[in-house]
Amino acid sequence: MTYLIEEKNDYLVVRLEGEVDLSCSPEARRVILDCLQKQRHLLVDLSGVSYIDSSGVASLVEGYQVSRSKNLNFALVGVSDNALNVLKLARLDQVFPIYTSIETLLQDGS
Amino acid sequence: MKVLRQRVKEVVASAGFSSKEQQELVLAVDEACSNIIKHAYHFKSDREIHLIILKTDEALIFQLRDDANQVDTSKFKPREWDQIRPGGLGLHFIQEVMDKVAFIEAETMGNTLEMVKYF
Repeated sequence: MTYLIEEKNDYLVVRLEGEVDLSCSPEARRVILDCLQKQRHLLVDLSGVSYIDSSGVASLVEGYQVSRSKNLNFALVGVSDNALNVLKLARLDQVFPIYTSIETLLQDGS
Repeated sequence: MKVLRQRVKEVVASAGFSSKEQQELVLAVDEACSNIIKHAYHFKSDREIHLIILKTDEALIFQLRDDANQVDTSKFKPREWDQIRPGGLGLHFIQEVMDKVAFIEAETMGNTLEMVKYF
């Protein structure tokens, strides 16, 4: 897994790439929580994620919960088919705000 | 784990499962291995996990064996669906994907998890 952090308007965007599994999810968790510690709205771009397991999903859940506790926005963007299938299996596709792209979210005025 | 996932993907693909089923089966086996690494081996990297995949006329049978102390399987409970919290999802994935999941009692050391997926 690799990651890239960018700024887009009011958001920090964490772009995860590759396989987010047991060996990498602690790093994904750290990156997500570090961004939220900076009191920034957060988007997690999953368009480059080819595989994600329950530990990776747990990192997203924790980020979502921390963002809510801090009154920050948290959303997933560009979720790859593989990642979306796993979120559906976890029934979390109805919990996370999910947008097809960052542009879509920004147009939405969210 | 990456190598294991690739090997499982090859087997389930050759068995004729759809692309979505292949992905789910790889996930389920991976989650079962992760549970062994976390709960049986406590992240020690020098331990072995044995995976046997049996093909019958009606199913693929996945047997995962570790050589850890026998675990109390009654403690393994999946998360309630209405609880949105990190963790507890792995077992749900396994049960959601597989048709049968059972621990096979061992007489000595180790644990064997058997997961069955019908064609």
